[in-house]
Amino acid sequence: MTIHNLTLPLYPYMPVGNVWAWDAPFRREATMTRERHGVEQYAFSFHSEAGTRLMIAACYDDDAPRIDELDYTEYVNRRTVVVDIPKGPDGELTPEDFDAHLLNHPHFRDGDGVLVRTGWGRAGRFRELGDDYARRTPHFSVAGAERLVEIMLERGTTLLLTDCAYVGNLGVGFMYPEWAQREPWDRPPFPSDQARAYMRHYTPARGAGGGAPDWAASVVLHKDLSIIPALTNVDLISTPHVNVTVLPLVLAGAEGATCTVFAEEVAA
Amino acid sequence: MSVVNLTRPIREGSAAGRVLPWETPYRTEPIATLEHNGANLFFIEMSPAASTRLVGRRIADAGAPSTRDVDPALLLNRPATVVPLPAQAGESITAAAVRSALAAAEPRRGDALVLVTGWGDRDHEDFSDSYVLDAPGFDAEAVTALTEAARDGGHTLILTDVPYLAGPGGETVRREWVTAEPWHRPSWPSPNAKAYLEHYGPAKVSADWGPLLALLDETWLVFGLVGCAQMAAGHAFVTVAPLQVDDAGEAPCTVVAWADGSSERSTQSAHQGG
Repeated sequence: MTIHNLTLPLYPYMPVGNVWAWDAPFRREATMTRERHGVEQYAFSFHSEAGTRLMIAACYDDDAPRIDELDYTEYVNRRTVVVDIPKGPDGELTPEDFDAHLLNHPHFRDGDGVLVRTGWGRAGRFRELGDDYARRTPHFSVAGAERLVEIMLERGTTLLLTDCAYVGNLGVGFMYPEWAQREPWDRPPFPSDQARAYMRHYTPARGAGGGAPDWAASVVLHKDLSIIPALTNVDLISTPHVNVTVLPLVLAGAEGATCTVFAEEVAA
Repeated sequence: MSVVNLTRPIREGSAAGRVLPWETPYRTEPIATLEHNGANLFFIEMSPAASTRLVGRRIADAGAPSTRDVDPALLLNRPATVVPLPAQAGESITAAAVRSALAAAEPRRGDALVLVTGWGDRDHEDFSDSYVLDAPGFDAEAVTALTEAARDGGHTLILTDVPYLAGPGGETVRREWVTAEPWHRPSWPSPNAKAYLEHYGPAKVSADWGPLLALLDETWLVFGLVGCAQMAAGHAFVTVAPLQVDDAGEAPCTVVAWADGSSERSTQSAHQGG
């Protein structure tokens, strides 16, 4: 069986985790090197949801289970249908998209995970586009998110994977114009003083916490689904469904975590 | 199919990943909070040893595959044999014990090996340095026996519930750093740790790391499993999912396992809920 690694690599300043004011870019510092010591060791720093990540209700709900409290049986060898809904830069996934492409998908069985493949996450694109891979990703409209949740719950599933880098409304009201659209040297990432100051002023009244217009679709999806965005290599999948394994970094008490995703092709 | 999670939860204050001079303790800082920002996100600093971790030859050989480049078939749904190898605190596991345990477990050719000493079943919320300092490890001849078994049996993945192969570090770093009082061995990036590593040259490294590197010539290794008592001796399946760091020879990983209840791996078709 063919197995694909659908996980974005973590490398210094990789785009998913390097754009928004809450992002802390992935960094790596050598503590030992092959040249000096003969072996390499290092320390990492990054944001809890860098790159491909498992996003869960706890992001917006302190009473929801945390990453280390999940039953990983739900995330191992999970039959998942691959749904093609092509979208380009800034494209929005709408209710009509899901009605047309998912509702009557011939390979969608009750209980299947759903992998929404827009084409954005083809192999290597993240290196070509840099920060625009995150800033101009296709994403979900609020109505699209609501319709997708409705369909998935009716079919007895809550596992959503997608090659969209982000699922919400991309900070359109506040964080995009005030922060993300600026040149990188005008938005030094957390833990910079500037990022800390921005986050002090980024409250729910100004779009934080999923409030409209910045991230409303994100809240809709988080409420009922486990979401794994920022898949890569999805163009390599050649079968209409796959068995996926999603395992997060086991950060105790985390409300979401960077994760690793493998997909095994299976015969139709 | 019901999976068991064999991964050590990564916690602030844990001894894992803070004792050796090249390790930096796991530390977090809130970036956004539900109370102020309406959502929870945080910043992380850590070294791979803060977690269960996957180690490969690339730590010493830039031409060897990285933890991201390893063939996924080696890590996903891998048939495995659980090998009971009980050991007490501070014990040096011998070659005879390794050979005896492997003979009793009768691993299939090509299986991953899960070596269970019992150390990973202690309370992993015990934040004292004892988790590292008192861990059992394999003596030099036992490492040689493992190396031979890996080569002869095609065991290209070996997992174990001890945090390090031969106790924390090698003899040199144990004598010069690990055995000092904690306030005399402040963690990386302290000036003390940096100064120590300036003096921890290739000769010392070769002596301390040689057995590990020899074993890595034959197999990938996973250290720091927990909860192995949930698994019965015999055959199982394991999946190892490393953090997808580019160009790394060692990375934190998540490990799950499930019993080999039939001759074929079951999958969750028509899985309800989720």
